[in-house]
Amino acid sequence: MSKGVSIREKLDVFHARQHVRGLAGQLGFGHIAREELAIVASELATNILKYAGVGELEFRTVEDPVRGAGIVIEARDAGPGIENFSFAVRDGYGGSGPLDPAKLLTRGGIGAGLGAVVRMTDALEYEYEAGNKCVRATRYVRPERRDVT
Amino acid sequence: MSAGTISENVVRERIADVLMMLASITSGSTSDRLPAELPEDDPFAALYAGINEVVDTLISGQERLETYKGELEAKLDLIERQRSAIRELSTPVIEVWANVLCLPVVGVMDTARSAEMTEALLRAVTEKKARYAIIDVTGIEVMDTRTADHFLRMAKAVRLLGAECVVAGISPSIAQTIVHMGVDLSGVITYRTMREAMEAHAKAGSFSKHEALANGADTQNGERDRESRRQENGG
Repeated sequence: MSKGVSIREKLDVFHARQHVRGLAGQLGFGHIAREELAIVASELATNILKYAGVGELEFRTVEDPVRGAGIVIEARDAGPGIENFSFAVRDGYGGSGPLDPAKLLTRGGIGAGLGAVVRMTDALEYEYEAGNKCVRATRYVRPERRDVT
Repeated sequence: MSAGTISENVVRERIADVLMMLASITSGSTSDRLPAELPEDDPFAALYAGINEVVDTLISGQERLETYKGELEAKLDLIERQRSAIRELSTPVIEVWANVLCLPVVGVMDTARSAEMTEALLRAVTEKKARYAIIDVTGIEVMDTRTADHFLRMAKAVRLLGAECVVAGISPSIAQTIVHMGVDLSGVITYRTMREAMEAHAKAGSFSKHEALANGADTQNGERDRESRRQENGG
């Protein structure tokens, strides 16, 4: 089961949030997790608007043999690739390195969008092939045991 | 006159007519049509009628398109206006009292919005010469650690502008988030509800209902009165 929400303008971010909330509810995510997934969808959709202009968010359910049921949010666009993804997921960093703190707000964010996605999901993957960018976030219903951190 | 007897000159003339009419349509004319008074058995009669019909359809289609375009433009304009309304609604800064600002936050707090909010609040504090700003997060249940950190920084930034900034309505899950960040919370004053934040401010003598009513819109006077009263009360 999958469904795409096309992201073209700010209101679409709202639609994406509504959609992921609904799907997460059906899957049995708790209230807090649902709101966290709404933030994840928000961040991914906002990034599409910011860097590519247009794109699509696709929502899928997955069934992992170990982790059980989960939700996959895939953000796809044809914008420029992320130079260095491991930089991009760090707070205060952009795809090409540290961001100037004085200019953070003028970028229309706080430089922590993907960082928030990492914190609120179980897995985050990035693919870039032939001009097609894809950021895939997965979150399972059952919380991961984070005994060792 | 039968089809077989039509002279070559006539044929050339008719073709020229057709070409001229098509050229004038192409150049933007909408009224030109081929003459319809040919005899019925003329082989060109059907052709002329057909061409005229096509041209009619084309022109009426064009006119419809023009109307749609106008409608579409009006709708796009409406959407643009609604969008800016939504933008404003997403970060409302309300002056609840003279020099007292309130920032009620509802819905989802993502990083982009927290950045927008900082900008709106800091600008409002300066523009409205605020002394006290209350950020009410009752409507927010979940916040990312970095966003929460950003919020606390926002409170400190407000203080740099010479106003006091308090936070009201922190939810249990956001409280956990903030504690897990391990940041110094000593400088951040929080209240359970917006009401408590207002009451605390009122009790501190920064403003009172009667005083504000008496002074009306003359906030500068009120400011001075409050200032002197605070000194009398010994802080």
